[in-house]
Formats: sequence, structure tokens, C-alpha cells
Amino acid sequence: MKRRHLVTLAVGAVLVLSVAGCARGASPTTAVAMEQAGAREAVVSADYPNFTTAKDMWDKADLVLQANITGTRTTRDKPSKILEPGDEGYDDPKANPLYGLSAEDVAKAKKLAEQEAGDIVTIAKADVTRVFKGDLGKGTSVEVRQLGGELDGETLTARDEVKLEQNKSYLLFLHAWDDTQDTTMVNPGQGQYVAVGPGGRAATSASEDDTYSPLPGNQLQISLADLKELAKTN
Amino acid sequence: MGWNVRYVCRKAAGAIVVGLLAAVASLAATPASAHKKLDGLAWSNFSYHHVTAYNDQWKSPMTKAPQRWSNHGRVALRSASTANCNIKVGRYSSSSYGHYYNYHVNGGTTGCYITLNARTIARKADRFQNFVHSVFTHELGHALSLAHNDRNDSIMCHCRNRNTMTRRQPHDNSDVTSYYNTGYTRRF
Repeated sequence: MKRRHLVTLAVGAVLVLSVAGCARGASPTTAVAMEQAGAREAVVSADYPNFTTAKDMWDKADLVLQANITGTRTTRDKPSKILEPGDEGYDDPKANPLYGLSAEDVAKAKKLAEQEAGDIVTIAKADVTRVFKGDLGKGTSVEVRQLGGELDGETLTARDEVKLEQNKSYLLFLHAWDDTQDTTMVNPGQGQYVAVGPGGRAATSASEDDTYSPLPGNQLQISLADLKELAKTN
Repeated sequence: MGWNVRYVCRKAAGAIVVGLLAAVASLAATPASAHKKLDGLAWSNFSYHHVTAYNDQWKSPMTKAPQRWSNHGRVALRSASTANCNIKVGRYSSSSYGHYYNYHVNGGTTGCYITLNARTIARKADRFQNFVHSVFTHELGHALSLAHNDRNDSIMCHCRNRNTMTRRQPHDNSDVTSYYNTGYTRRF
């Protein structure tokens, strides 16, 4: 009887220690933590800026354009960047949460960053048909990065994102990123409008009759005339 | 004539009672059902872990937000080195201020991961520590099963002023109380 209790205790101890070990070993980054834990699915929600007027959204966007989506792909996003001396914002404690920490703490953060894998993202190729704001020419294309997608058997579902669809035309309010050389919407719910041409067809070639439909829940209506007026304020 | 007056009064009183009942029913139904988030943690007494250290600008709001959630009667958040929820402040190429991730481990247990984006917060905040506090309180709200809503009296609204609204609001308190009404275990 006593021996059986000892065996039970020993097995229990091994189980507890192994679980604790697993927990300690779990990486603190999303993708790596998911992989080590055997998780294949994750859901993400994000806190984005909210715009109360089209003018407000216009002012915050680097690019406002109409474009046709000609293809999509999924990939891993770049992980978080640790600022180094000389980088813009390095010595700003608000922009750099590691600024002022001990060398040991910074080294730990860097080691962690090396293990970090970026989020799964979907990249849409957008061929530009009309530029309202920004230094882009008609006929060029931009890559629009959206959070979430499926990659190598893993799924990241982004609650706030409505994915851009191939062969559709959109009006897009975008933020351009110098470091990733791509763009993201200023707000995933407010930054995209389906562009519709004459007769209700996709506005694949820009026309004076194009209209723009906001996503459900977006109260900001906008017309071609509004955009032309806003463009005068550039 | 007297009968008509009594009749009208009775009808009016009936209409008022029906209206009041409908109003009470709608008020009672709205908070719990409208903002329920199935991606929250199953427990409101979870542990969290800051995966890196922060400087003083970040440390104060990153410490206060979970402490203030824990003042809610149904919530107990504690810092631990091995935790249900990992927290990180980084610099991301995204317009967002913060993210809440929820994932499943070993076929059932739910874990979470929260990131704050120093890149956008530093650029947009007028009152920096308030802004950080607001974003972190919002993301912890997701872990407590609160979903986004359109109410300007909720920490879960994108529309809130992050420079001034730092704490959970009465509406959020009511939702959490409703969701975790069997102690620390989620009801739904």
C-alpha cells in the first residue's frame, strides 16, 4: 500500500514538473508559443484609431487611391523591431520602451526578439487606377498588408479584417510604411470601400460615375465629388 | 364622460407599464448578450507575464491596468513568470495600438497574448501614460470576454478618447459581472 502511494506520488511529481517545464519553456511570442504548444489556430482583435469624419481619415492617410486587386498571398509579417543607437526614436523613452534599461534587460529582450516570428498576414496586390492623395502614378501598384490568413497549416483569424478580394475594385485609405515597403489600411473597417462603376459592375477602370460603398458598420459615406474636394486641400 | 376618463386613464397606465417593462427588458438584455466575446479566457482569475522589462514611461501604466481590473469583484489578475497570458510592448508596422490574440493549447486550454504598439502610441498620444493605460485596459478586457462595441461609455469602443478614458467603465463592469457570474468561471 505504501509502495503504491510512493509510486503515485512519484508519477504525480514527474507530471507536475514536466507541465511546469513546458510552461517555463513556452516562448512568449505568439507564433513561436503557438508552435511549441501545438496550437494551430489563433484569433486576433486589434485596437485601431477611429475616424469620425472622412476628412479626419483623409488627413491621417498617406495614400488615398482606387485600385483593382489582382492577386493575394499569405506570408509572415516582420516581427517587432528593437531600436538600435542611431535609429529614429532610439533615445525617446515613449517610442522605445527599452530605452534606459540595463544592458542585461536589453540583452534579454534582444534574445527574445531573435526567436520571434511575425504574424500571418495576407498581402493583396493592388493595381492603381486613380490617385486622390499621395505620390503615386496611375498604373503603378502597391501591396496592401492585412492581418490574418492561413499558412503552412496554421490559421490566424483577424476579427476586424475584411479581406480584399481578387478582381474587385476598392477605394483605399492607406498608411505607407518605409521599413516594410508596403501599406496597411488606416483602419480595417473604415479604410476600404468597394468601388462600383456604371451599371453596378466592379469599377475596374476609373469612371466619373464610380460610387463607393462602405463596409457594414462604417457610417462614413464618401463620393467621388467629396474626394475631389478633399484632394484640393493637399 | 366620467367612464371615458377612467377608461382612458386605465389604457394610458397600461401603456406606460408595458413601455416600462419593455424598456427594463431591453436594458437587462443588452449588456450581456450584445458584447459577448467567445475568444476571451474561460476564467477571470488568470495570470499574466510581461516578457520584457520596460522603462519608467511604460512601467507605471503597464502595472496599473491589471491592478485596476483586479479591483472588480469578479476579477483577479496576478503577475507570474509562467502565465496564461503573455504581454509585450513592441514596435510594429501597423496602424493599430494594441492586439489581443487567443489560442488553444493541448486541445482545449486557452492561452492569450497581448501586444502594444509603441510606434503608434508614441506618435498619437497627447497624454502618454493615460493612452498606454487605456490600450492595455482595453486588451485585458478582451481576455475577460469583452468584445468591441460602439458605446462611447465603454473602454471597449474604438471611439473612446484614449487620452482621458483609462479605466473600465460601469457598462464594462456590468458585462464582466454577467459573463463570470459563477465565480471565476465563464458562464457561456
